[in-house]
Amino acid sequence: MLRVEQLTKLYAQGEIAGIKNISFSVEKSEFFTLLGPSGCGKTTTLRAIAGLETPSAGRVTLGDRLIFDVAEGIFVPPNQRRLGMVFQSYAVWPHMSVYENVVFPLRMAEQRGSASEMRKRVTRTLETMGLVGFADRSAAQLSGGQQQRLALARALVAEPRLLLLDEPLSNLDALLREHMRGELRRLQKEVGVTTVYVTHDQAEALALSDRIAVMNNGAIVQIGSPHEIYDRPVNAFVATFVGRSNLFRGESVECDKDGSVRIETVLGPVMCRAPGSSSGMALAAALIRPEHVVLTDAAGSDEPILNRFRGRVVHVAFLGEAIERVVRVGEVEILVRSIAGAMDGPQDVDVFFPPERTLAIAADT
Amino acid sequence: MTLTLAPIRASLANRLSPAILLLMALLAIGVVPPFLFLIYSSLHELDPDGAFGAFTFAHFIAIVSSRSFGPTLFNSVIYSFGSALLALVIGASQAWLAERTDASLRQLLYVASIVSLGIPYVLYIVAWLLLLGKAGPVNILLQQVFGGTAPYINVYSLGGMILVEGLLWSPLAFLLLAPVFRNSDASFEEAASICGAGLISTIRHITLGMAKPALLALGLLVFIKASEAFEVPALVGLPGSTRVLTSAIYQQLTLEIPPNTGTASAFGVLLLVVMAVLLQIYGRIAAQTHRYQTVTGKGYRPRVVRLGRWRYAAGVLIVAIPLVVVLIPLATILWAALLPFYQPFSIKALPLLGFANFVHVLNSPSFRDAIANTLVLGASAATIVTALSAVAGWCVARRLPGGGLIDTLAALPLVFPAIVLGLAFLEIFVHGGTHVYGTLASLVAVSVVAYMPYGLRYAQLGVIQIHPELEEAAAISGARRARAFVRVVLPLLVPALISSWLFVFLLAVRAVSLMLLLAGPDSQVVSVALFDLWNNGQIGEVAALGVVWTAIMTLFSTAFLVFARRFQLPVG
Repeated sequence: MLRVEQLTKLYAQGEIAGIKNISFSVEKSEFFTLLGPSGCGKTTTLRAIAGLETPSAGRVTLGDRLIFDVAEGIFVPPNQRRLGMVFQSYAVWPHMSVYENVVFPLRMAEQRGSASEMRKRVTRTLETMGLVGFADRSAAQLSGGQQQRLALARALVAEPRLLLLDEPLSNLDALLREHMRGELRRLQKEVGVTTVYVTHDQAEALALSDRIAVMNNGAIVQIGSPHEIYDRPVNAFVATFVGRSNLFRGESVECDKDGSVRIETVLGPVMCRAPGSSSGMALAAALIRPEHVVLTDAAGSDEPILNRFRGRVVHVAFLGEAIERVVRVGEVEILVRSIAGAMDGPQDVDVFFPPERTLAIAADT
Repeated sequence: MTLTLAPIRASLANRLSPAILLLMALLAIGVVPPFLFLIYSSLHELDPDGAFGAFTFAHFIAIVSSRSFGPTLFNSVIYSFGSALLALVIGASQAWLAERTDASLRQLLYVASIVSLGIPYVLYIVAWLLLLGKAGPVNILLQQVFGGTAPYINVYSLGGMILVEGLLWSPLAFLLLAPVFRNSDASFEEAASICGAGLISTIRHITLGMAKPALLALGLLVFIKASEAFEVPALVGLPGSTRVLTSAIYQQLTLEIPPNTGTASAFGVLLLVVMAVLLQIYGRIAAQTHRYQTVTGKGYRPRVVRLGRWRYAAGVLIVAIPLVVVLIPLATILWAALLPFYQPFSIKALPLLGFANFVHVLNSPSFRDAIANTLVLGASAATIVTALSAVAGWCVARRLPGGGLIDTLAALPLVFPAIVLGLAFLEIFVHGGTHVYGTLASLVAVSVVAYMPYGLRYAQLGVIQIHPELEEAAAISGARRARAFVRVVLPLLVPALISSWLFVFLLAVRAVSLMLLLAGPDSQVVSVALFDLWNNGQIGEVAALGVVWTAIMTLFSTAFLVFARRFQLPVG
């Protein structure tokens, strides 16, 4: 549906992030997320798709139509791309009523429907968004959550080929954000509109997306389903940016015949699983998520067992649905997350990294 | 002991301090008498010896029953409305081009506006009269193109008045609208673009739609300013017998001997009522201009509109507007200043050019006095206004006891059109039996009253930007309120006060109508000298004095804008 190829835009000043050779494609009805820290170039990429930025190289194809190509000098202006977009600030026009905001894209369409037809479509969209009683209200009087739904209604009313969302939830408070996240996912599936979503919030990205592109420093680091991104991050950046992690840089790497990898870390040797080929992984690190670390009493013998280390609990935090402990092994602190259990366990513990849950990944240089 | 005393002292601090009482008294002395004298004079006959006679409604009846009253009122409304519309259209297009687009040479608009702020009204009007006059270059050009010998344009008409007044206000309209467009988040326009709107639709529905309250407020402001303006009605309107309310007042005072102050005052009272109503409406509209402020995302960027192929059209406009609004009038004046006897531009006249007029103006003691007087007048009025408004602005902004009354008193002169305020003070000086009439000191006093509202606005906004906690911290450290004001507020207020000083200075030295009735032989000022010279037909001297003065004033207006922009104060 959408194909982005080799998109590049570099800025002279460092204030706005540039992008380098961004390529990806989005399937019909897919929810695709660009995830990354601020300044990684995700918003620049989105605005380039919208036609609000003109990249210096690359091309963008929407459906079977080329809408942007530097080499061929093609630039379809944003108002002819037939897109829907929700801005970070919503950009709900404060001088218009809710109805006028939503009907605007229909009025601007090349083939305008009749007045009654437009009214019907707006009413239907407002119904979907739960804004039925608000049509004649001034847009400036709406609350943050309502403005957000209005912005979404405006973006969807003309049945765009592609929906672009630029951090639409970032201006909402925590509770509303959680609620709107669910709404957004439900709506997108219901309407079936192809969606590109930009966020810096990894939890949002994991919960909403069909696929995620993790970006850093203007480039895409990894593209994959939420599962792939979380379970098989390609490098230390993705591992630490998405989810919480214990990461141990390797001093030496040894590959076994059965596909497992042995990494010499500050803790000692750690046996890991390698995703795909581990050859050429000169600089590797062992990654284990806090919820995969197994905690046992330090009662057993202290003879060395593979992937088991003796440590001391130095900090306990009760999070409601889980308990987090910081275990110090030598000079290293390991984060352990357990679902239940008493707060005051033993002070001396053994931590165990199940090898099938421990991943060898490329370490950043 | 000290503990029990503390609450009593705190309550004392909330009472009126002597300093604030003194300030109130000063303001009342300046502001209340003009009202009283104007109303009293409009309701009493004038005895032949110049003293007030019996009570009468005759002045009002004479005005309303006069055949010319209807047309005068009609002219006033059309003239003010037309000027407001013209100023708004030119100002808004400039502001949009300068702040929302990628058109080149955008800075040119700012430079031109700054220069134009320094041109005296009279000089600017004279330039247009020379350009559009019967024998002016525009009419000659039209005659050459379309044939015929009759002039095509009669500038001494309602249309001419609207054109000149509208152009006169367009730079200020631009400077006031620029921040409105500058501060608007670009995503509103981008959203329209995504929704399928092209450039024109976006401007119409979004840019102008969102700026509507600001445009309306500014339009009304220019409407008010034009209805109380005197210079254009006198110089452009009267020669063609187009009367508006302000010029009617002037005629009552100058055409008849002895001056008909009663009828003039009655006109003045009518105008005051109109002003009061308009200002009330303006206050309501201006309060709404912030209604459209909404969530601004973290991704806020005031991005510019890409004009594409419209860029060239925009470029033409950007060159054309300053050319018409500033450069051509200035060039005309310069041309006139260099000629011994005025004639329209032609190659034949080139050998006649010389600096005789400049030599004459700069060597003439009366002109040198006028320049010196004007500078003294401007500087003293600005200094007094700024000093008073620093304290007054603080009382108003911090809602000290008495602050409300101070606010009302200081703002009262706003309802006075300058010519009416001049008339009111004329009557005070004449009937009051004082010997201040015609002195420079009297002009300073009148200017202080007239420009106090503007000084107060600046000081008040300046104080609002200073967080009250800074003062509270001084109080906690043991400083009394007055001391906290001197040691904490005043130093932080300095930038706002400098802006206020420059603004009041520029207003005071530009004013014609306020000074026209009050300046005496010993207190000639530049603006009035220009007015008289033009009426005497001394075009060369008008132009030369005007050029010298414009050069001096441009320095001041540049300084003012630099300060105002740096400290983000409103330019109006």
